[in-house]
Amino acid sequence: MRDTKPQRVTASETAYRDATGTPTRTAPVLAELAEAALSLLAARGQRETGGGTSIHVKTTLGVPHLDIRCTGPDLPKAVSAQTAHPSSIPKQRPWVGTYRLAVKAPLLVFDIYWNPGEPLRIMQFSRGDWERELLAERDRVRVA
Amino acid sequence: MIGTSWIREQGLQDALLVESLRQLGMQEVPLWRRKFPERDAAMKHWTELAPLRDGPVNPVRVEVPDLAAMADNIKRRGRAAGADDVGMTALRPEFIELGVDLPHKNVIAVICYEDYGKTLEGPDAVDLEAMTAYARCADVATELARQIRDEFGYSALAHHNGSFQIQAIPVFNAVGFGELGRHGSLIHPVFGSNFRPGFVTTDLPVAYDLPRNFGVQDYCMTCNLCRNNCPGDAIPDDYIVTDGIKRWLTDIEKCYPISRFRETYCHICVDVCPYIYKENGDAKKRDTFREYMKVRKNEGYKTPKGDR
Repeated sequence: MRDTKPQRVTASETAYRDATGTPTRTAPVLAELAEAALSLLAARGQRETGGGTSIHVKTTLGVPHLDIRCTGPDLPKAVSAQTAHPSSIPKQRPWVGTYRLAVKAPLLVFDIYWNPGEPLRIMQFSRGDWERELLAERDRVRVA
Repeated sequence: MIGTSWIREQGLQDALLVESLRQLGMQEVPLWRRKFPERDAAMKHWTELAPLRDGPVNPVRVEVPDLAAMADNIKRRGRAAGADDVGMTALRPEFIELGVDLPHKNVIAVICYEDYGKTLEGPDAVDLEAMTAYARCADVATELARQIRDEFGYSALAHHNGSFQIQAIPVFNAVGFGELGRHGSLIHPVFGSNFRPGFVTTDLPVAYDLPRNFGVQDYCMTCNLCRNNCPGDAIPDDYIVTDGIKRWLTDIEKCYPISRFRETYCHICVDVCPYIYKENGDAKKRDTFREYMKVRKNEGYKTPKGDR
């Protein structure tokens, strides 16, 4: 079982690749980063003509900069509380999401894709110093 | 201990792969659609080992007064089972898959070398060698975990291609196998990046290995051979930093059209890495490297393997 395994279930108790496909709780760290990115877009993002919202953030803690972009019909306030179980992904084809949120720092470090009311899909999530920058920027905007 | 590292899924469980297929109007992954019985047998082998990852633990536990002696013992056992290097360290959350709870204190890493000479035999030979090395790692990890449970009386869980919850690169770095290179793989001083992984997480007390740096991260800043040879232009100039380590994240959306959406295997970024001989001075590997670079030059560097 993979990235969103319910906590307190050990790997040895649950075999990988043969789970039921039930969606699981979105990892708190992922939800916090997504909501920080969305709050920055809401506060300072530029609406694009193609339907997305984006922001270029000059950072102060060492990461060159952050580029955040969310595409979709509007700017959501939060992401799904659940994450799709990987075993469900091959069974739901074709599938197209409504919202896609991506962060570059400057490489693509975070990319999630979802439909309202459905579990989200993780396309990319590379941990690193960019997380500290993103959360610090969110806090600065909150204070302002 | 709850894991904090997200690990990309394999095959059609990878949401990005499925989305890339959809955008290209494709249903299947050409690399895996093609019949290749020898390779498919290796993949079947590690799948069959998945149920043997864990098992009953001997209730009679062996005391471990000398951690270094136990570490040496495990390394001997790992090599006897087929590993080419073995290292160990304390398990940390960043070594474990995001949200997964692994109830162990330590992690043992094993690697199996892939014969670099296969590089000159074409993509099928490299593909088969890689999958065979994965299968050997599955054998080693499964056997080592069994011995720890049966003979020492400590819980132990094998991680290999059939089933894993361990993020390989940070563990490799911590156990002193080497440093992360621009191509996204760890570079070992003896084997370059020509190896595959297996792991055992366990409560067996052992002495820990230490990280070993020999200048890879600095060298990769100026080398660029992998970047200049990548047919998908997927290896970046830029990098991110995680815990003080540079990570040149491969652009997977650019990698897949070459590494998955063709019927032949791509291993170019590793095969053009000079660290196959640079640190160890192996003359045979150096000659193979030079021969292979002639092939790359004739192909125009960015040409995928198998398109000659």
